Amino acid sequence: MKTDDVPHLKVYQCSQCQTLTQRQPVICAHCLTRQVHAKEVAAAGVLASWTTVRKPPVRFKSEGSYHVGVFDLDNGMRISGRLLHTPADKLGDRVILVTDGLLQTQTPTFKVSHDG
Amino acid sequence: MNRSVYVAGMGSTAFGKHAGTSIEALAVDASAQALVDAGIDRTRIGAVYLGNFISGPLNGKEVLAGLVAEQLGLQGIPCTKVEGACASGGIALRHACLMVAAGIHDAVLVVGVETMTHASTPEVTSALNCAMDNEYDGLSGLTFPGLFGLAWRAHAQRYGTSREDVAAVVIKNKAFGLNNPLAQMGAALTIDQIAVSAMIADPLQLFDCCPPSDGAAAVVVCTKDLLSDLPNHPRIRVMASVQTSGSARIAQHPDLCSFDATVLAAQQAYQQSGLQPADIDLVELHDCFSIAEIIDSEDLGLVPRGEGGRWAAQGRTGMHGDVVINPSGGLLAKGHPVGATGVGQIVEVVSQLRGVHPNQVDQAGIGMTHNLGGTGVACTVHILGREA
Repeated sequence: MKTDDVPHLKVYQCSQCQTLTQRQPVICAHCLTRQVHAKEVAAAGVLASWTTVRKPPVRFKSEGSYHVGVFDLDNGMRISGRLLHTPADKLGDRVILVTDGLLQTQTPTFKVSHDG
Repeated sequence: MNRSVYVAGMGSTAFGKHAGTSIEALAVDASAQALVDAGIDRTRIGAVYLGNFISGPLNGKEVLAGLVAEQLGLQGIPCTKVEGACASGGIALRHACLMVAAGIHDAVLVVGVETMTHASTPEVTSALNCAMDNEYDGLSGLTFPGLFGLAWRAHAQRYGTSREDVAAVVIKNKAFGLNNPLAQMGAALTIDQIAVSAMIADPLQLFDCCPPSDGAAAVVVCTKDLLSDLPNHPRIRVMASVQTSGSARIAQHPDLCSFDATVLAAQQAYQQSGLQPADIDLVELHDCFSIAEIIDSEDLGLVPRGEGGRWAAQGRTGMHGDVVINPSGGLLAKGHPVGATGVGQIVEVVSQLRGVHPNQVDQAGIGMTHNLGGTGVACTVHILGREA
């Protein structure tokens, strides 16, 4: 899959030191500048780990259980979010961002990509 | 200016269910025991530090330090509640030690307390999740069992840590707990019982998790000249008192199998005390989950990196092992009244150094405690030593 075909995720980048963050910071924690801009990055990488939360806190209780993962994007960013899990998933598998048909939209959701 | 600091007295309620007892009453109970045990006149107590995490959300009560001090007849002195999630108790102790070391106060009361068992599991999970970065990880629905499920899977993949290895921690700590009257949930367990317990956050199962608990623990720290000369009270000196921080966000942890705050705290504690890992006779470390004991033991430098599971399985962290880990039963068996835990660990180590612990480690002369808060956002490490 070419980078252009990969779904993109909106993150934030410091305009001065180029540090990337998953969510918009008040200031850049590295250089303390307030000049931070939104940036679209290719949301493909590898599955660093995942778990199935079976005892959710009150705000997620209606979901019953769900899968949470840590993903290492190809640009070096590590982010957390949901995983659309299948029994064949293994650590180190390639993952891509899922953009359609999600119940939970406040956090990025990934799935293992079998397209390589 | 840097004066030596000693632990003069200790007290604790049992950890477990204390239905109908107020959070202040538990703290007062443990504190009164510590004051009497120390044999120090109350007029010498210069300050109170109280460790507590979630009394606000679960009890609707704050200003606990002042409430407790008033009921102990300690009036007019600075009374401060400190909060650092599950490390609240350790942080309270560190601040007390700093005050004595710096010459601000000659004696300080430290108490940690929590009540949790009156609340439902989703309520407790939500309250504990206050210790997460809820603008980041909290949005994904991650929980603390979930955090350690992620860590376990990564540790298993990298180091080959098995269900049997991790179960060895549970079996050891639950067995220690059976013999500790302060422990909530001692048990004689088999691997089969653990392996069929409910899945909580894969691969973490029910017996891999510490229970919610009520309880309080307290100590009095002071200068050398205020120590009582009771024959069963050897001088116990605080050889290191360290507090560090790490990222509250799981994605900012470069290694899912390690907590930077623990590694840093251990390095500083060894430096402060002039000791090596091999000098530590026993450690009470933060086994909020079974896999946490394995990771902590490696982060503290007590076990080679990646070997924590195997050392547990081989008995090298048991009573007659290379280093005795959690002879109290740890959080897994003793319970985890969150704000009390860090102080409770000190009570356990003082008992060991006095030679009166129900699971006494032979020739225990130096003990360590490790208290970890949140996703490793706060950490304290203390080293106590018995003086000849």
